[in-house]
Amino acid sequence: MECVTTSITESPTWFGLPDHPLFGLLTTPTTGERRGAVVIAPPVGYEARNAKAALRQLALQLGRAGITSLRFDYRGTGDSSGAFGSSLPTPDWVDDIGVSVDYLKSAGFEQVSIVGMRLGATMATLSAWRSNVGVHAVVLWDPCESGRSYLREVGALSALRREVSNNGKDGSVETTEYLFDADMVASLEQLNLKLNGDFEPNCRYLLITRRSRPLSTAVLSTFESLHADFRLTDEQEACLQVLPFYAQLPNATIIQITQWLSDQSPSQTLTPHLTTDSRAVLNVGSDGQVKERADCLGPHRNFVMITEPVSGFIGPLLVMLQNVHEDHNGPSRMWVELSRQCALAGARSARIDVSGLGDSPRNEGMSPAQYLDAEWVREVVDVCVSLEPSDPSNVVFLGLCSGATLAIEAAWRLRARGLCIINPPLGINVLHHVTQWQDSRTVTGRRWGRRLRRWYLAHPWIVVTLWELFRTLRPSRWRADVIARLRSRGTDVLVLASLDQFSGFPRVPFVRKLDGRHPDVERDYPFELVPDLDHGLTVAAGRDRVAERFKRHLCSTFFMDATNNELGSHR
Amino acid sequence: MDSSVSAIRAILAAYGQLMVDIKSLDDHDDLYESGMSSHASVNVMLALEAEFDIEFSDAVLRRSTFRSVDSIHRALLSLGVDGPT
Repeated sequence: MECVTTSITESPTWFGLPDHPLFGLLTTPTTGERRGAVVIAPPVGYEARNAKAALRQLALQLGRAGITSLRFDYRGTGDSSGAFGSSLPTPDWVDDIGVSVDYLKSAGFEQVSIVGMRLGATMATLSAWRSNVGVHAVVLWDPCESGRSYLREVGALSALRREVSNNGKDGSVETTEYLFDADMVASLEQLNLKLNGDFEPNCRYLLITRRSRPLSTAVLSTFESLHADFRLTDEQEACLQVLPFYAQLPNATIIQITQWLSDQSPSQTLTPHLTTDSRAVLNVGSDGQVKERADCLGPHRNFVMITEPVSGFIGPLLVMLQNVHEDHNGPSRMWVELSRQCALAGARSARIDVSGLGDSPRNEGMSPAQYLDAEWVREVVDVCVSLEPSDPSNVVFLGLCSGATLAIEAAWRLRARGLCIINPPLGINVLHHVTQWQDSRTVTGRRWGRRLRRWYLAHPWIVVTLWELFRTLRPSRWRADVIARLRSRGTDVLVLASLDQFSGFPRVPFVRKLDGRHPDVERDYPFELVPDLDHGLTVAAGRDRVAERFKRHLCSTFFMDATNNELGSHR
Repeated sequence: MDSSVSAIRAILAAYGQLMVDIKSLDDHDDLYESGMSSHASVNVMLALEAEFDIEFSDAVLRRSTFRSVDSIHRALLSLGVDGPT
């Protein structure tokens, strides 16, 4: 399968060693001259989510300049094989960059360069320094000086969002996205741009830094001695330091990188022959094997990753939906691991990117994606019809937050067999709309957004009154009622929630008894509070509990008749 | 004004991404409610570490530590800071 945009083709492919295949996206110019290839080494963790759209835009821009690019996931991350923690940043992730370079060289590209962002830049440089393959140029886009500095930054981000230390006594570090165990921490601490190594003598370097993350003079001196080109960017904060849905494309930096690489890359004399394979058989720990294939489905050509047993599947299709700040892999890759575990028990699942998010582009002519975009429901329904043409209702939807809303709406449309959701928004999110205004591109919008936020915090009773009025006047839009009505129509429902779901109006006493979200209110559907769970599933303990609960529920409700197998451990 | 507090305010102005001018905030005003995000607080933390040649320990690396100019100042004092390096 391929998705073609004007003169550029995007193709998903598995590549690398059979024991641990890597998943990647090739962006290839279909017309004009060819000017070499680039491996794009992504950041790790939440920075990878934020940077996804930027790296895709870079790939498209490179494609227009005649440069083929390969974006990929390190093993144990994204869609690549393995569980997070089963591989180490060094040597494994550094080696994965080398494998990516090898893949492009074996296709006939004479010159292969690497663009790395953040920790990806650090590892890309070390890969170039250590490899015998020969890298033509390296772009270090806002690099982390070392693995230690990276851990410190992401660990601090997690700690400063909470009141508890995130460093375990066992040497582990919990971040917003992943729990880095002691072995991974030790491995990350080996990554260091200050290390003197065998520098690639014929390699060119472009070093792009930002003021709020300055590099030490020792590292800058290293790159001065390598005759690197230096640039400064002020676009990284708007790209990486906001919620992913609001991340802005660093267009000026993308153009700079493209121009610099074009200047380094003369036309190829030979025509490369790329072999792509959108299917793979993956080992799931020591528990068995599953099949995965990437596809573009439905009229909007939504990116879908389908996971299924090696031989035949049973039960309904499990459809895992992202929230607006995630891609199809889910919070901290939860959907990836859950879908693979479910496939071992015989289930087929689909992880979908709706248009404008993840690996699904927003098609030309469509308006920019909106939070709770109505188009997304249609897209999800269309994908389900593609995968289950004889009975589109034979699906179970899973989702978190806005993904849960999408799941509710799609389940309603299709009369789905099941609904497993976490922290669904149960009414209008007033604070969200205020936040949207705060992030407005216009000065007036931002000014009114700040005023409204201060007004809301100062007078929450007015907001609550408006909210209750809305609930009374528009009951059909009140999701708690929709969930109950789904159940009455025969959809199996399980709702998991965190205690902070009941903090919509923490300053307003007595409201929690009115708004129906109080934990003690009787509900017409199974509703469970999960200990240690936060709204975005950033805390590993709560996230693991959700995964286990979903597995038990899915197995006992939809798959127990066909198999007595347990779904296995989460990691 | 204590030189440390001046340095703290200068760093907040440069990296705190506040919605208001730092001069309009007194030492006990809530920086988060004045627009400082958790990401910006990391930038502030790193800048403070570079400015004062310190490292925030786990014990003080809390959201509450960066809630106000005063709480930051008290954290720096607990780490033995006299003034900027």
